[in-house]
Amino acid sequence: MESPDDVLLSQRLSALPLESPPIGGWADLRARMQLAARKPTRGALNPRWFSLAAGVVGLALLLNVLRTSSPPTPAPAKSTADISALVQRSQDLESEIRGLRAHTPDVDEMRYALESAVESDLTVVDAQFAATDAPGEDLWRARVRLLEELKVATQIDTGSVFLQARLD
Amino acid sequence: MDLAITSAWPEAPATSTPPRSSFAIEVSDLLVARLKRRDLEAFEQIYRLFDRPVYTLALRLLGNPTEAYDLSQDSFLKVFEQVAQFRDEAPFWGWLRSIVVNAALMRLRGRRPMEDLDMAAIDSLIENSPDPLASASSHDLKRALDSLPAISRAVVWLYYVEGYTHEEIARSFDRTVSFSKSQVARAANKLRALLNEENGSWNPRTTSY
Repeated sequence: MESPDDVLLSQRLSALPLESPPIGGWADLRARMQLAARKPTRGALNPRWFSLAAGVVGLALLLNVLRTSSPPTPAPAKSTADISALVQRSQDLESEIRGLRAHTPDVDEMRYALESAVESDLTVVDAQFAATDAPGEDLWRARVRLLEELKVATQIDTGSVFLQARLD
Repeated sequence: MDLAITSAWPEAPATSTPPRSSFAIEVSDLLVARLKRRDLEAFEQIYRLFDRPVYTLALRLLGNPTEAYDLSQDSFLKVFEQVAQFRDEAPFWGWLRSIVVNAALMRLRGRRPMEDLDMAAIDSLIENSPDPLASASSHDLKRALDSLPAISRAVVWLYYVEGYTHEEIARSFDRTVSFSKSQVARAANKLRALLNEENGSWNPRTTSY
């Protein structure tokens, strides 16, 4: 682009103001994410899918181990104070997870897959938050439970877990 | 492009430095790392940073607000799903922009590029006239741009605003470098011709193809 005419055209076009998308774009996107998470995917039979399926089974087992080893869920709370406590717990867990991740920027594939599996569930729960004006106690409880799982997944040494599983 | 008239645009004098794309927003490595961990808060930050540049590019390439919005949403969804494929050697914005451009070009497939037929008329319109770009308002320029055929508008935007080379445009459209050069030259001339018409009286019917 060397001629003055080209440069002028470039400058004039580049100076055109940015356009604004319709409002509510982020909420729309979250809704699409929720749909995408629910939509079953199809693919051709490929050897990679078999190893992936094996990995998923392993992850499911691991998640089951994590869930059963977690402390029992307390009896459902009914007051606003209980919801406030859940909101606070949710915020604390997010902060703790951020702190943990800041100290471990690199993760192995297995832990990444494990975290992604929990976060995928979390995305669905968060989309339900976006769809309601007054999220109920059950929703907050589900979020806290998933964040607790995510915190464990963030800390876990996947190598030793699977080694132990094999030895058992 | 071989126009004899040298124009002056008082607000921004012509220099050889190409303007920066509105996409050229630096994103911290930390934010990208959080996005790779599928951190929704990080994703929302990315969305808020880029929603206008993404929508603007989609609109310039496709010319239709509904299609542009749909493409924008698809592109952000793809970012979230495929961010693990992003390699840190290139800027994040360049990767995001390529997602939008590729998706838009997929939708433009099958549409016809500008043909040679109207070139004589265009040449006569711009011959011996002062460069209308120097005096056109942004509103008129945008309207003229919108009047270009889809492929021509896309090529012009990629070349003049996003800084794509002819080789990159040729690759993107799966065509030759000559295709890119001729489309850029014709579309730029057509844009000027439309602005010349604008200086008289705007008649949308005369700008259809």
